[in-house]
Amino acid sequence: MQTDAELAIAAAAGREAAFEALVRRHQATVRGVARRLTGQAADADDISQAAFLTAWRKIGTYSGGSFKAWLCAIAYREFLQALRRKKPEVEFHESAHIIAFDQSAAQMANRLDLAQALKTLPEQQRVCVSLCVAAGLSHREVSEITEWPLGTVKSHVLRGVAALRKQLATEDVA
Amino acid sequence: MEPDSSYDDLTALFADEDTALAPPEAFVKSVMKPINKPSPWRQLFLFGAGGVGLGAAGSQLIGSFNSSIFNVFDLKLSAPSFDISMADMTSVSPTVLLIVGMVGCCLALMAFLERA
Repeated sequence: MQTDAELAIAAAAGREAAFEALVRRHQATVRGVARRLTGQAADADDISQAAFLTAWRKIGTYSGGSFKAWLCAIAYREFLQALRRKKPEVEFHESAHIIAFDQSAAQMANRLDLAQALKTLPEQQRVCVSLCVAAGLSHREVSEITEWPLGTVKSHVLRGVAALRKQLATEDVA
Repeated sequence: MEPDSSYDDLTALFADEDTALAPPEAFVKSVMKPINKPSPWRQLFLFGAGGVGLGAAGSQLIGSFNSSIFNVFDLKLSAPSFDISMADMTSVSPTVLLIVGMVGCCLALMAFLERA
């Protein structure tokens, strides 16, 4: 089986089949990250698709290292762009945050799965947990992707993981 | 990678979620669709058919131009003939039919290649 780096070199030389193999190999991770960042499957697939297309255009700039981290960095930037495009809509619904909080509080009594538990985390914790815990990137890689200090990333991961465990334990008790 | 395995259980849960995603085939197809270049055979065929079409059209134009000049000289020598029969009207048909047939074949093949 060819490594990511070998496939990336072949893709950079214009071999579409090599890039397709990379898409096939990493689609679950990228879609998972996008789904956890956005909280919506439809938006997540749009962001994932945009991320892979950007990756294809910029495959020549990939300079080794973890290909998964490189892809996740692109997906994260696509997420931020999508967030900026959607911002006016979010600002218009100022009550959306409060309603969502109330809904999540009500849903705490019901079955709370991992995805729902993740949605209740503050955004920065959710980003760090999605990239570190779910996608398996290192703290340093996430620090480089998000441009947040390493200590901040570690702190967000710790708090996020603790909050997730607490919520999942509550779910088990319920 | 940093040696951080304090959340391996959560990582495994997330991995299960990812593998339970919708089948990747449709997603991979939608990603690769704008990336895949059209087949070189398709381009070759279209350029070839276009060239043949242009050649056929050019030869027709040159033929009709020559015949019109010839007819001008011919008028001085002999009276024009007006006995147009059905056979004369259909005499052009093979060429027209050939061109129409080629256009049809091109369209059919394009549709086939696009679907493929």
